[in-house]
Amino acid sequence: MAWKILDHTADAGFEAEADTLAEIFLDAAEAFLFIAAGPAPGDFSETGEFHTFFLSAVDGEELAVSWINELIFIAETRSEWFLPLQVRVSLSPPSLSARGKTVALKGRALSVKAATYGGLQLRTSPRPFLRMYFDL
Amino acid sequence: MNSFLRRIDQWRLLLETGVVPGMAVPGLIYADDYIESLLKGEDALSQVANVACLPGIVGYSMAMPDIHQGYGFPIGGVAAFDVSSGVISPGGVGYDISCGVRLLASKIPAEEFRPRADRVLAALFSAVPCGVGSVKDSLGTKEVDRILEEGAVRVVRSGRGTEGDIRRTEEGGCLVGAEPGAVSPRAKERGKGQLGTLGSGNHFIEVQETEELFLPETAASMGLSKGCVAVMIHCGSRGLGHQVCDDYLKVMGRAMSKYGIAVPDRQLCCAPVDSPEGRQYLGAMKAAANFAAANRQTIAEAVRDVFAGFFPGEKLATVYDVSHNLASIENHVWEGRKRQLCVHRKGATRAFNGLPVLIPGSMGTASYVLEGTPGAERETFGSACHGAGRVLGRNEAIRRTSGRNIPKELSAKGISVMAEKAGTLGEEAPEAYKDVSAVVEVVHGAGLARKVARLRPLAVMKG
Repeated sequence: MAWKILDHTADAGFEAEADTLAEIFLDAAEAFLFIAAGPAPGDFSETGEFHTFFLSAVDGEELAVSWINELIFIAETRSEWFLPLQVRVSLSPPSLSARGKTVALKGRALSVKAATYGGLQLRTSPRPFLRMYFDL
Repeated sequence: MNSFLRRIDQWRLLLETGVVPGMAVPGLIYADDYIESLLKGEDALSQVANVACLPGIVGYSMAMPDIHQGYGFPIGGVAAFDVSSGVISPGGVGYDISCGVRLLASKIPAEEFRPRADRVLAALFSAVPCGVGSVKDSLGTKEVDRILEEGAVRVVRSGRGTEGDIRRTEEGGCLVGAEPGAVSPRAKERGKGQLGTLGSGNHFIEVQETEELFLPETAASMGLSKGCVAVMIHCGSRGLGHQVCDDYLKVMGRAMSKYGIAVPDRQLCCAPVDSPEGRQYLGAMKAAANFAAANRQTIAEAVRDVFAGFFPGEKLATVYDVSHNLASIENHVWEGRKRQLCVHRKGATRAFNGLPVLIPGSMGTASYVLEGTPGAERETFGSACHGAGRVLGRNEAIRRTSGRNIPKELSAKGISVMAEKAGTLGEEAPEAYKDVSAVVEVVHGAGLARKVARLRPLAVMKG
């Protein structure tokens, strides 16, 4: 686990540090899944469908928020977790492409409702770093 | 931060200007010594100060005694902005637009309910879905639009509810000026499968007993009878509201430079009330609020169906339905002058003179029904608190309750409980919240709202 959970009076967050921006975004997805579904969210070994999407934003912070909010959107509207296998991130211009597989959410309540800008930090140097809080 | 706090009287603290650069007004926090002791180390005070920096703020950046850290605005925050020179901020409303409380009252004696509590709770769990993908028939886009426009009225007109429900819902369950066209297709997509769902976290359905009446005549006029069962529903606009907030944070984030606005926290991004972005957000926010009112109406009907199976012929009449996450254009007199203001209440309840104010407690503790006063209209733009307010983070609450059997503890107090996720019970344990009675005492003592009745929990369904 390359990220750690952060406390918030009403909600929860995480911070991660990695070698690349892509790794940071993958860590963010993992932290989101952990907070949204708990340490044992289900059996993901079943075969899911492959899915690809693309996002753009005005800056890196908005891109990070949009990334997690896209995962929430997929979960809410398709009742599926998106498990990213590969993420490509660029900050000039800020954009992201993600490829992964989706697996059934099986009617669970989703405890993360949004990624927020509150306390948000995205740094690229000396090492890529992301801190983000979720509205629960 | 705390060195900038000055006690005005037993119920009020002033947060002086200068805490952060650019504060246009001071902060005013409703707190006694107990609430003040819980503010130490809380980021909420910085958030009160940051809100005071927003353009066009009138009077004070206020916080109710259930104050705790939020995003941008603190939870418990109240701020009013001049409509002609001030701003509207999605962060001042929150993600769960028009999250609120519906209270239903019955004449069913609590002693008749108790032996059936577990079975009623199980039936509620079956009847009211919590999560995603749990609604069998999702709505079409046209129906979503109708609900965004008509709110709870749409549900009642389809045969699910009574005219009394509408009369006893804030703004008649339908905010005028809602703009379904200002709500993104993405938000509507999220809403399609979520009407009539409770959600998770602190959302709940609680069967309660009216335990004590402070103003018996007022309580009677609201339909509350001592010793009888009431049902409280706490939920909001679900993913649809969250998407509206997220969409407009982006819109306003991009628009601020056009209006020369800079904010100390990105979550406070905003636009003039009287601007294309401001008007558009207001229309979308009202539409999301209508979805929330329709959601609580739908859930109320499901609750009635369940109770009809156990208590045939007994009615569950709406006491009131009120939001605690909303911005509203209202006329107030401030410093002797009539003003048209955009009042943001984020985790705060409208408390106009004579209107019910519903204050849910934490799981296993009392809830209160209050009544708004002229004092609130004079002092807080007609606002009071919205609940107990958290004092422990969710992770800390889970750590502290680890190894405990919370359902058993509550059962020993005569409270049945069921939760969609086992972890929710630890997160929502009573000690994770302030003492709701102390919070209510502050708004009562400060003259913002009068205590009408206290209700104790009998059965709790958590999302």
